[in-house]
Amino acid sequence: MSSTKIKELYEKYGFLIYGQCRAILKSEDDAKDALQVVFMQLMSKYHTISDKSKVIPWIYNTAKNHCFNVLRFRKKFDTADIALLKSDSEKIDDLFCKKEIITLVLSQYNKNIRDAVYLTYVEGFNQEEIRKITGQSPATIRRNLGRFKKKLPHILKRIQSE
Amino acid sequence: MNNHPDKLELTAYFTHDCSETARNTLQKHCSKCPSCADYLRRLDSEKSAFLERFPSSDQNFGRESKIRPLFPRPLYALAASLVLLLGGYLIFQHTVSGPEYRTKGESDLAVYVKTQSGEIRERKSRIFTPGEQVQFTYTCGAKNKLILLSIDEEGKITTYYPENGAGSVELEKGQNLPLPNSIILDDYIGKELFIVVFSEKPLSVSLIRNRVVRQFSSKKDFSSIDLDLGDDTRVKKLLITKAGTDQ
Repeated sequence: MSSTKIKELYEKYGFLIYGQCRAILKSEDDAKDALQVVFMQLMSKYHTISDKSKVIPWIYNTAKNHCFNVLRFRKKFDTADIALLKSDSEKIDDLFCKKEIITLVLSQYNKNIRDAVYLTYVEGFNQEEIRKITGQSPATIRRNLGRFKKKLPHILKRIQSE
Repeated sequence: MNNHPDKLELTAYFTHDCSETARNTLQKHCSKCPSCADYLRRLDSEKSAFLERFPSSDQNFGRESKIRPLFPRPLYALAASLVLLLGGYLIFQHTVSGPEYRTKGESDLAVYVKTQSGEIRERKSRIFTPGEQVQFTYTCGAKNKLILLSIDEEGKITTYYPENGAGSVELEKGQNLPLPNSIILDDYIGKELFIVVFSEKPLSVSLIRNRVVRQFSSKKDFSSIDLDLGDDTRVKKLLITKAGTDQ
């Protein structure tokens, strides 16, 4: 890929990748590292995406997965915050801030549930948007959100005991 | 598209990634919808702020860049080459077979290398040179617990993943996902055997290391290493060469 094309892609999509990574990783340095990694992936993958309307969902998905891996590798979440959480409300995003939701989400081992929860409560996507990013149907997304809420007391107990 | 576009549609409109028909429809809608127009303004503002903070002229598209590794690594640990990790299993080639990196079924793998001339490309051979910066990608499904280590001709073992910790590292399932760390190759020249273990459950790093050392020590031969860890694991080996000249 020519350097002109690389520059064009960077100026077009860089802010989206960085914004997503910054939202998850919180640190500017970490987000810059993640931007570089995800952008390298985009440079390699871009010519294979024939329908360019799929580039934006690809960016969201790839950046999210990479940043979750980063957090998982580092175990970088503050378990002390979890002690303050309550689980007796219906609305997840009424109870927990985005950082806490990310923490809870990383405790989940089912990728589909993780994606549904993160994209709904942290990114604020609707179910149709989540379907474009992950391929899950709206019915599956609703079911996965329900499963997460049901598992929440067990997740909190496990985190607090770690 | 519904009457009111979603964020992905608006973002695709902003980045000029939608069809001509969708573009015209969105243009008409946004000229009348304050909230969508406001969303586009926010995207524009974020883009401007980002490019002002991190202009493209400052990025090392054509030069060596320093990716700060997430974990500091001693240089000797970077001696070996790179591995591509597949979901479920790795495909590694013995030196007698061709430079094929494709895996069975749906898994795929690739290694991205940023060469000293600044190009980023998929590396399909197993020969690498000092100073190259590499990035692993992987695809994984149920066997998403990983240990990656290598052993050189002198029997020295280096564990790459996990960097710290006693057990396998858990990966996000998916396709062609990058591993968090990139590596800059140091000056070591020679052969090194990479061993990757994908498993459904976490395994002990010391168990794997001890077994590799024991098997290698018996004959000082890479071919004597044969990990058999059960049906819920997948072990792959790759013999690579660090060469002194660019390939």
